[in-house]
Amino acid sequence: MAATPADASSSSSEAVVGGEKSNKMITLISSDGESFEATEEAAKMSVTIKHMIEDGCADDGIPLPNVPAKILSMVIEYCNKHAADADDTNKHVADPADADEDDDNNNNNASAGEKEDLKSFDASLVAVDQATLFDIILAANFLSIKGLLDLACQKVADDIKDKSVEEVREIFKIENDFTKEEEEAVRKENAWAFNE
Amino acid sequence: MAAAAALPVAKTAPDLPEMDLISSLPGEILSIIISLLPIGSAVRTTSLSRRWRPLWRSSPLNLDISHIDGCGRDRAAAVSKILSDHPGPARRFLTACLQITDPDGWLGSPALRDLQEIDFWLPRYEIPMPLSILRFAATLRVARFGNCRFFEYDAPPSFNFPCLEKLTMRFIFVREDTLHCLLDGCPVLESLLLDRCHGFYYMVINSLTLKRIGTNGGRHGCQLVIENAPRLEKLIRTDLHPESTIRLIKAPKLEIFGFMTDDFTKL
Repeated sequence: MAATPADASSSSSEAVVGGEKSNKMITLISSDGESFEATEEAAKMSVTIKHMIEDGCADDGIPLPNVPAKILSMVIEYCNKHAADADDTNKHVADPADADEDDDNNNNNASAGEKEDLKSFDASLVAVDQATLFDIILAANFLSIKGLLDLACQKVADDIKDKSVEEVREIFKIENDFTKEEEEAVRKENAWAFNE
Repeated sequence: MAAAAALPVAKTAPDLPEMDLISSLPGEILSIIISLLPIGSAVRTTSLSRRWRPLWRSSPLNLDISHIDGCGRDRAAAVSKILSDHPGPARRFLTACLQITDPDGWLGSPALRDLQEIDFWLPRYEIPMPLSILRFAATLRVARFGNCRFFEYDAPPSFNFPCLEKLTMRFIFVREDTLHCLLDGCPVLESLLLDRCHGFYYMVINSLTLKRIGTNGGRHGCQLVIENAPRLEKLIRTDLHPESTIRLIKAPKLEIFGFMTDDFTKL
């Protein structure tokens, strides 16, 4: 990240240029007005924030009107943990469903022990109630953090998979608003899938 | 992740919401979630509610045939139904467990448009890989081919796989010139596995991106030459033919170089 004249006039915590990672701190402001600090490196895991930084909009802190404080702190935790490891994260199309095939998701530089740590961190991050989980998903989507979006969506998929339609409705409180005829028609469309 | 799926509903009762939150997520997000489901679960989401009915057809198709219950004929019938039902695009199409009677028919299906990951086995070894597989060349990231003769024409077709990161070939006959044409057409390839393939006696690796190479067996010896592979970290050969050799010219990052007796596929 080479310095431009515009950079020189902003915050005093300017970093050394010429290939070294910036220690510049970015301020992120949640929807309920709380401020959080993150390193530029971690913040840039969000493609949305990355663009704002590059467009020079980040100097006075970045307001995130869609993300409440509770969720923002979890998102920043995720970015902090994964930023150190990311090797061009957004280029790798990580497929969490490929668990036994893919030996290096975004963590190209991690040792085996570090990978295990990250996996258990990820698992505990998304082991939350549905409301929180969906808020994480919406925040990751808004902020364009692909790894976090995939992680949280995979958790929801894991809660759905291999369950019967009734069980899924129960877990997610989905109301069956089909008429009897409609429901029969849907089941007939792909009868092979409904041998439950 | 397996643990989460095994929890009985009663145990997660404290976490059950009071109202339906999931259905108010944006359609694009529900599409991501559905596309991560095994095919049976994905199709069954159509019967959750009216909101959910159209969502499977507008999420990228994730079709791993091994997740369909039943005998070969039932599975083939289910796949034909799915391919005629889904408008595409597709993310994944894994067929390794099935004898495919109509490879061209399936590969030409609009449902498989923009396919990213494929695992495709021909029913008999003498059969050539259908040309229609090249339809996915522009979008494939992961490809596993098996049990066929690979493009045995006088002049190999021009291979252009701009996104292909992982290539596995099993029980395949491929000529030397075709193989090299193929490798030349994979500018971002990171992982290459050749398992019990033959037809080439000499393989030169010249790749700026390859990180892992594995070869297993073969009916005849093969000389493998690593001419220039600046990112190569692992090179593993198993079940070597006595006449096989390796010549390392330039692989500055090579850490693992050896022979394995098992777990070849975990390279």
